[in-house]
Amino acid sequence: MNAVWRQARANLRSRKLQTSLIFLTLAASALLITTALTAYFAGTRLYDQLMARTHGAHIVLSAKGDLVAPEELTAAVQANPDVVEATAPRTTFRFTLIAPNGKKDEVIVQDLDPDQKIASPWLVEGHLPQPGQAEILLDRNLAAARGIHVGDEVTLLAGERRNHFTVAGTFVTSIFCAYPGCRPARAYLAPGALAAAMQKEGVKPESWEIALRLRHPQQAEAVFRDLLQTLPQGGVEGYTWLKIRRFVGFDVRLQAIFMLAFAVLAALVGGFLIANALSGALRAQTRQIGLLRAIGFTNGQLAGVYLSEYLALGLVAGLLGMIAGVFLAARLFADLTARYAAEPVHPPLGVLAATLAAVLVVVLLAALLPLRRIARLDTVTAIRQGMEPPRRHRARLLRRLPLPVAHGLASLLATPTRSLLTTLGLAVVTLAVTVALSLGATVRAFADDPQGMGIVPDAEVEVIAGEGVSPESLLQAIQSRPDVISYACQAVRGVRLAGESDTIYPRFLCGDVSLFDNMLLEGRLPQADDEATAAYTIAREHNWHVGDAIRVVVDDQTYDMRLVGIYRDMNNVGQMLILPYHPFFADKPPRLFYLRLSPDTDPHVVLAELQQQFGEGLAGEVVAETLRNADSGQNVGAMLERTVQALALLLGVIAMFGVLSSVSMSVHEDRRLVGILKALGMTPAQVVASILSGAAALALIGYAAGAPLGVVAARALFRTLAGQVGLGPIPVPVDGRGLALLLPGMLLVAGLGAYLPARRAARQSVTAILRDE
Amino acid sequence: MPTLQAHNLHKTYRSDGVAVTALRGVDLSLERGEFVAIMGPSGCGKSTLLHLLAGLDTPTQGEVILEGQPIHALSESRRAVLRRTAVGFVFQAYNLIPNLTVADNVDLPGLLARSPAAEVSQRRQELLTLLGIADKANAFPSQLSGGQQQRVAIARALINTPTLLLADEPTGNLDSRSGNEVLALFRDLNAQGQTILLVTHDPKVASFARRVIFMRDGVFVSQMQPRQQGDPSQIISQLVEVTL
Repeated sequence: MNAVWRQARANLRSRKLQTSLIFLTLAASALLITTALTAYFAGTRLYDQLMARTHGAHIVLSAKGDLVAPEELTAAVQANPDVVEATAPRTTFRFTLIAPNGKKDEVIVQDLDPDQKIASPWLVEGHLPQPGQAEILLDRNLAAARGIHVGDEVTLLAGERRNHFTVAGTFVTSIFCAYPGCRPARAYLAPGALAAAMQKEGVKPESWEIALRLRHPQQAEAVFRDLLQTLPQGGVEGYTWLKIRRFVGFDVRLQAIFMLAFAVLAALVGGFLIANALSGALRAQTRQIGLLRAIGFTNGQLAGVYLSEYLALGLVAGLLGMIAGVFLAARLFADLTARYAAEPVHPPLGVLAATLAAVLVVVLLAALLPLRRIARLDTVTAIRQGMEPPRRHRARLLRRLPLPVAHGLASLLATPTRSLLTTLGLAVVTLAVTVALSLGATVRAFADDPQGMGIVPDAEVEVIAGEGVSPESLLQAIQSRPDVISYACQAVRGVRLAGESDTIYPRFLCGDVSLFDNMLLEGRLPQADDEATAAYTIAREHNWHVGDAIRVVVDDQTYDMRLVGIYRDMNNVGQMLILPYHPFFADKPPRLFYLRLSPDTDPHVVLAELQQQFGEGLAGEVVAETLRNADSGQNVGAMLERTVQALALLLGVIAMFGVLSSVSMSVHEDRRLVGILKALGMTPAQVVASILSGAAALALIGYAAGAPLGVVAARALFRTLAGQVGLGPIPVPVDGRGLALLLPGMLLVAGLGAYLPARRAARQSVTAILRDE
Repeated sequence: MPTLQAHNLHKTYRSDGVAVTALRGVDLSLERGEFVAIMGPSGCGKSTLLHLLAGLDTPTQGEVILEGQPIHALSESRRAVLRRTAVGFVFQAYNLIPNLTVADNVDLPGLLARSPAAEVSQRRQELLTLLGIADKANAFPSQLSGGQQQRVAIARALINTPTLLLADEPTGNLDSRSGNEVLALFRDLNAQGQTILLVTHDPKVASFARRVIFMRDGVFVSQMQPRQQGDPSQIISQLVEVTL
């Protein structure tokens, strides 16, 4: 074993360039795998930690104040044998929160209970609201999105009453909303302050909320279903911790998927590099292998020499890449940890073990084929002849192409396996960059025309009648405005699908529903009272098709509906329906309206005039600006685009390593040939041109193979992802300009990789080569 | 004007930090149509001199004038371009390109010199016929004997009709019969006006030249003109004298 290792170490040292390039590539792969896997698990791990820290609730039940008495809720919970702990029913009330910058958000507010043992808010900054003080504790993610800081003053609107509070601190919570972009967010007031804030004739507690912990948390869904069956139909809704867990860290998981894909590609290119380097080493050391065999090395020991070289290299590179990955992950996901006020993200041990195993598997697989050469080698021939010369095919191209180019191409054909592996590396990188370009084009298409992907209704302004605003008056005001061409209304409330316990929150539409037409994938929006349109994801999960019958339960009433269309909706991970407003809300007027304005109307003016007319109780936004809000999908896309571009760049560097390694080996092997050609009159510039033209040919073939595959892969990948997030099939534009620029880019990568060895070849002294013969 | 002139040529190599002087002041003048052999023991600087004369390397000191051009002062690229047309080089180890056919090997310098392909092809046919290997045009070097390979190398060296044909131990790898055939070929080429300079340590080879220069320790020590081409006895006597 000692002899094997000693020989392996000597071999590694004798091929410093190849060793360094393989080392860097494997380390980069390990870094990416570590970071990607860390990211993939980080969201849920951080949530699990938060659950543990806050003694989180496994189920939260919310009973409607006017339908279910708190005692009834408590009795049902206490009767369930799986429940091991529960809070007392606690009053919750929805307010409109006005930030110092005037932005309005709905918030769910509770009194802070200092003795609360389950799902207590986890203080991130500041202090808890003190009794007797007009202080409020705000959700950290809402505060960050709206630019609210500790010490700022915010207003809670309840009917006509304006309550002013100082932000005492911010918190994170393991119950809704545990992730950015989740609305409505939560807020806590000092004990007893809630009753005072909502004090107004006719205003009742909106709901009672109770949080439970279970004996078997993984069975939360089943327990939830049991509990709902024992409570008045339609009077209670809620959610389990497992449902929140599905939502958290979604954007990071999306990044992780891309990173993992690129890590696999990087490892693949690394594998090609190893296979090439090992083949080259075996060729160059043919005589040495013969000699080692002659002095008693077995085939197994010889294979061991080379395998141990690369396994050792893989082990060290993998470990260093992993360490770098740990630091990178902690830095990359600092924002994610801040969401949960958590410690820096560290990869689980399993991730580290998987990373190392992946790197070593790549090394093993890449080494297997070249190592078969050892067994096939004849000892006597190996000692006598040494390296077998490259097989050169008769270069018929000689007469048709300039000589340097013909020579460069002939060199590629002389080592077909090496050329193939290098080309595959370049093709893989072209594919990856094409995917990155397609992602960029898709994100830009979304930014330019979000409605083209059905992200928002085709409306300029969204207005919400908050507390103190009469919806009827608002509707009248909208109808009387000459600059409003049409309007649609929307309401959201919880419903269940018959036979299922999960609450879903459909959009109930009225008015000019054609404003939502751009969201349609198939069929149409509801026009009759018994028609429904389903979001892509929920339809796919239930295998619904247009024309199918579905049954929804609202309160204690069952409605039979006919599915008339499928639409895109990313909300609630696609668990959405569109239902007609009036059958479900009877004579209750809608509070949220989307307005389509006449051309040349400034939506800001319309919004300002309506807000002036109705006061602070009217919340509203210009729809296009909503898209620019920090939580929008566009920003997730832009973040993803940046990540993918960085990864593509890294792969480009790895591909350059591949070309550098491959050309270096060829230059070394072709040393004598170059010497002869120079003796016959080939100039140094022609030698460089010859080698560069070979590399360019590889890049061209790699591009021709990788670019179309990249377009196809991008379409398949993005459409799958879009399906997962509820968008359904989306247009994935081809970035023609980017693809056109990619060709010179890949030529540049190949050229840069080949230039140094080419220059070395050009500078070789003919006399030194001839003297060495 | 002489085809080739060398004045006060010095060449010192550095090998592992140690300076090795191969040439210590060589003067040479070669007239058009001459056939000169440089003789000397291994390591006396023969091949180094040949490389300097062909522009494959540059002297540490001194100058080389080929066809009126100071090749010692030219860039490597300019030397390469000059070499294509002015110099033909025949190596001891043939140095044919194994994956090219005989025809392609011979054509290579012609194509490098950007001569019209048809002209190159015609010249190649003439040369292969002259050298007696016309039937081997489509063979690969590995399918030929040593003598035949060296004939291909000579044809390659002559494809651009060079002013000067340089040969480094051209029969060193050949059996005596093949060697004699190659030397007879050189003699015939010289008879047709080709200027030839070859280096060898073999008196028999040198005896085919019209002028033999003896070299020792990097300098020319004497020269002679063999009375009868192909008879090495006179050269051997001179060599013994020089060596002692």
